Amino acid sequence: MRIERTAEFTYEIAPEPPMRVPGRVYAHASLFEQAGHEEALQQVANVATLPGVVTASIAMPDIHWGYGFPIGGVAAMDEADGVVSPGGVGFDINCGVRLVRTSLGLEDVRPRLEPLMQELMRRVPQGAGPRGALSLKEGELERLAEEGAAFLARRGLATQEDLSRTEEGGVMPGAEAAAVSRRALERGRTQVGSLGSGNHFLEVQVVDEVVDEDAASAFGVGIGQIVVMIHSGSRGFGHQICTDHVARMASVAARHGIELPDRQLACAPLGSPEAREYLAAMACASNFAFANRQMMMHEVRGALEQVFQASWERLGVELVYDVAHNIAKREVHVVDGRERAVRVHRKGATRAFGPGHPDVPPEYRAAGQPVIIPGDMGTESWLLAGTDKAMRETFGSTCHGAGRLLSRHAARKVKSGADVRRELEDGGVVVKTASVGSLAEEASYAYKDVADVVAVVDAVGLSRRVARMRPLGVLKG
Amino acid sequence: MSVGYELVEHTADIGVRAWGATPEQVFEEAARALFSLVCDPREVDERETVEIKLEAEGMDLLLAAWLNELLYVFEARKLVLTRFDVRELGEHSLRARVTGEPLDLRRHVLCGGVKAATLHELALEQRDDGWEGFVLLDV
Repeated sequence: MRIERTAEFTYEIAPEPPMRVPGRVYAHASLFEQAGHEEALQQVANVATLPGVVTASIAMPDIHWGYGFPIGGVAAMDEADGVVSPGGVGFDINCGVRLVRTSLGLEDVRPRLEPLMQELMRRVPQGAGPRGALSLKEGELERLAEEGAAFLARRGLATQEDLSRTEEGGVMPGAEAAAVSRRALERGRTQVGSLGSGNHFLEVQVVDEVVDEDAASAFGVGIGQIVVMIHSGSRGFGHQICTDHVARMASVAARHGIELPDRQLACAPLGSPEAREYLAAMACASNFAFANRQMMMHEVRGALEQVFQASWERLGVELVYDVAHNIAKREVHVVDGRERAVRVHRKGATRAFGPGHPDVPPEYRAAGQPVIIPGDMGTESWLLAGTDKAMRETFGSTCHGAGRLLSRHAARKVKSGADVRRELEDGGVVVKTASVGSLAEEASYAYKDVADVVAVVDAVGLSRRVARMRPLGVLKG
Repeated sequence: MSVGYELVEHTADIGVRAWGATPEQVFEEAARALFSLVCDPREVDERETVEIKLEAEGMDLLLAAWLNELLYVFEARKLVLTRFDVRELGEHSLRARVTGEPLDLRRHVLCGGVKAATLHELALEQRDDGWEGFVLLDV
């Protein structure tokens, strides 16, 4: 593999056959000292071999070694002769993040942080076992899968404003419940409104730095303001859908004469029955995740009402924005001067549409799309804005988070979960979790520094820093 | 040859290497490895049995499908499994009996959770002294 540095934070992987396009990696030079970076770069090169890949196989500064596609990967496939690959989306379809603002300040929340975190822990199920907060009868999950967050609006669990501030309005087009297996439906029916486990979390945070005053004002955030961040995805519903379709597509690629360097790149030509069914099922999983995060926000509203004894409207608990970072979307982008319909795969990457884009809610349009970057546990998170440069260079995409450095096993050897918890609490962060052991796996030392990742996308111009948030309380699955 | 499994390091995920005298044993050991990541196996009683029947286009794909099926049984039926008995294993099909008990959050301490078995570097091979398999799990 030949890698050339083409700008301060940009590297190109030369397109040697069977690559059809170059690889392009936005990263800090320290990436090349990290364990596993060669495998991650090889995965960027592997994605460049897929039929119909347009311009380049792109990777963001939080790139790390995944399976098939790297985490932090973006690849746009031509709608006419490209493929869709479930591995380019990931098992946790529409894993994403939502930021909720309030009109509370640090001095309001500090004295009541412990009861607030207890109330959140009570209302938002976490971990692998418990049922979600939303009760669904037989047949209702199919409706929710097709309607997404709009299903919750009809039950009074979401407002129209909530929907308009969610990517895709909280509903992906083309969702068909008939494309979802019985197994996925069985797994998903009791999971709507649950956090999940692994790196999923719910954090109560305070905005402690504002970099772009105008954008922060447009997004409704300011210094000292309390916000809540929810990071979660489509749970077992999405995992099963990805499993079902990867298994199906494993043989499809061979039948269409597509040679794959990695089986997890299993794909099907866009327009083929397998691709159409995957996309219809993927849309269902995406809708599940939007509804999941919406339901949890509803529970956050309830928790705040309980602890502060005022309605959530009085407390100003409003959605800033909700973004997906594992998804494949049909978008129109300008390529070589012409508009082209492409299927943009983002696996551990976030959409970052620039100022003026019609898909950005009107109240945010001048600033650009809000981009929410969850940081490593207990450190910091960021709110960014999309840019024109992202539209021109990365199909309107940016990073998604910090990216892992250490394996889970290695992380557990560094410290115990109990030690990690104690350190967080010594730093003033309240931690609630059902699984203390896994705190070590999610500790900040196991991840790259999110500040570095954000600094790179800001320096390259893919998204602009708007505000930084610091956690006060963490609810972890 | 011995029978057993080990968990293999990977940045974001976990690999399972399982071995045995027969491919059936590889499947059983891989299942035990999977459930060691779900919950402490010592706490699980044998109370309920589920029959599993699967098909796939190759025995290695069957190995991944098997683990994914067990995840489905755990999540959808809320059953924690502790014993895995592969009765019939062919190139394209598998029949097994798995045993465990309903999830009881008061007794069963759940670990991080596994999302799925991937096809990344999936392998199932016969060696001189037995069989060995590898599956990467997304956790």
